[in-house]
Amino acid sequence: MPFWLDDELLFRLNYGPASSQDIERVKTQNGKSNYFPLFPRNIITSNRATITLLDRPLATKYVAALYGKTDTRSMESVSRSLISEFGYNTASIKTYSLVWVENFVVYHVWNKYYSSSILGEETRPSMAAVVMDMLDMIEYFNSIDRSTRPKALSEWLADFLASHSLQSLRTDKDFDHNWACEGYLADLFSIVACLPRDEYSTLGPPVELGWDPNVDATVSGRISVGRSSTSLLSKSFPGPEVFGFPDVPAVEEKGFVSLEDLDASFIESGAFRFRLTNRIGQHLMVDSDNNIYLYKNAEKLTVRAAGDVDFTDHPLSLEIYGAHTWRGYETVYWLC
Amino acid sequence: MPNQNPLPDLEAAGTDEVSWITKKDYVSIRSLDFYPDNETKAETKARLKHAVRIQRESYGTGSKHSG
Repeated sequence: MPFWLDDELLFRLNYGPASSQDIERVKTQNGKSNYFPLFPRNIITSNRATITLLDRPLATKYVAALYGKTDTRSMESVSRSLISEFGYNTASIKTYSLVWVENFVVYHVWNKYYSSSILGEETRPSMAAVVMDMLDMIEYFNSIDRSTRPKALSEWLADFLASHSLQSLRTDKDFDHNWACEGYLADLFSIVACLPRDEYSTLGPPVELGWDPNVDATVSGRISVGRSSTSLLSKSFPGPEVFGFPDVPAVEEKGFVSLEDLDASFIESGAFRFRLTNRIGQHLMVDSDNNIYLYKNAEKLTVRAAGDVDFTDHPLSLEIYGAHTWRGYETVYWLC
Repeated sequence: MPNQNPLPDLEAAGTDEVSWITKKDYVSIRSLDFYPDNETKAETKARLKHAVRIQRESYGTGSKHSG
């Protein structure tokens, strides 16, 4: 019987209060990672996608807020009857969003060195509290008119913070609101927006901006520490920029140039070679080795159905925005 | 105060162990006192208990939900 299939434990993790032992139980077993390795390689070996901590009504609400009314266990190549009450549909791309939320709470929000001055030094919000704030964030960004003058994401987050009474933030002490926006709330946004960790990463969100400056204290010397990019904060919204996609320049018409003869074989007959990329931002870019990159949607549904998927990665597929609530923005509209 | 020291790149390090997390790193979880769909605390607890019981029973019977 899975250790996590315990109604008292699930209640405590979702709604509190829960002890440090409860968190330890979730994170580790026999001194090693339990069913929640930080970056499980795939669901066959890690079994991660079949373990659900988030209370099901909240999971349903979250997915519905992102993708419209849907069942977290529903369809998309798999019969609902084959998925248990606590199961995830491993064939659904929506499963990514739920796994990202749960992992974020377990490994970030419940880490002593993550946004401690914002979330609390000794106690942290429950999983439900974080998800409720994410639901508020989705609704807030949904309410922004598409024709609104774009401004930096950090400004939107500051407005969101000022206009909402968030459940996950500490109430016992005042805190630095700028730091909350540039760290914790930016990480929340990256999960809601389904952004990769950074523009060069295959990992899923968060963008890792909310760690305390002294996070080095938690890591051993053998693990390399990278630097998170803060560029997300200055990207403008509404618009495609915040999603990592550059604005598409207008096509300039030149009557004296015929493009008809410039087919792939003609181009490859010369100095250039085509290469596939799973990053749309690289589409039709040329590198110093004369490689021309062509965008290819990275992940296919059949791959997920086979189970050989790491749901903590980013699918690097536009399919994740196919029914996303922000698809209506010009941000991603042209991509889907 | 943007973060200057983000998560270690465990993927690059080729490990999924969490030995770098020690007991002193743990925190506790505070109470929310707010439940979905206007449920009371007792109703939420009862719903979870029922769902878990159904799931645990399916493990015992080896049903299709036992995986």
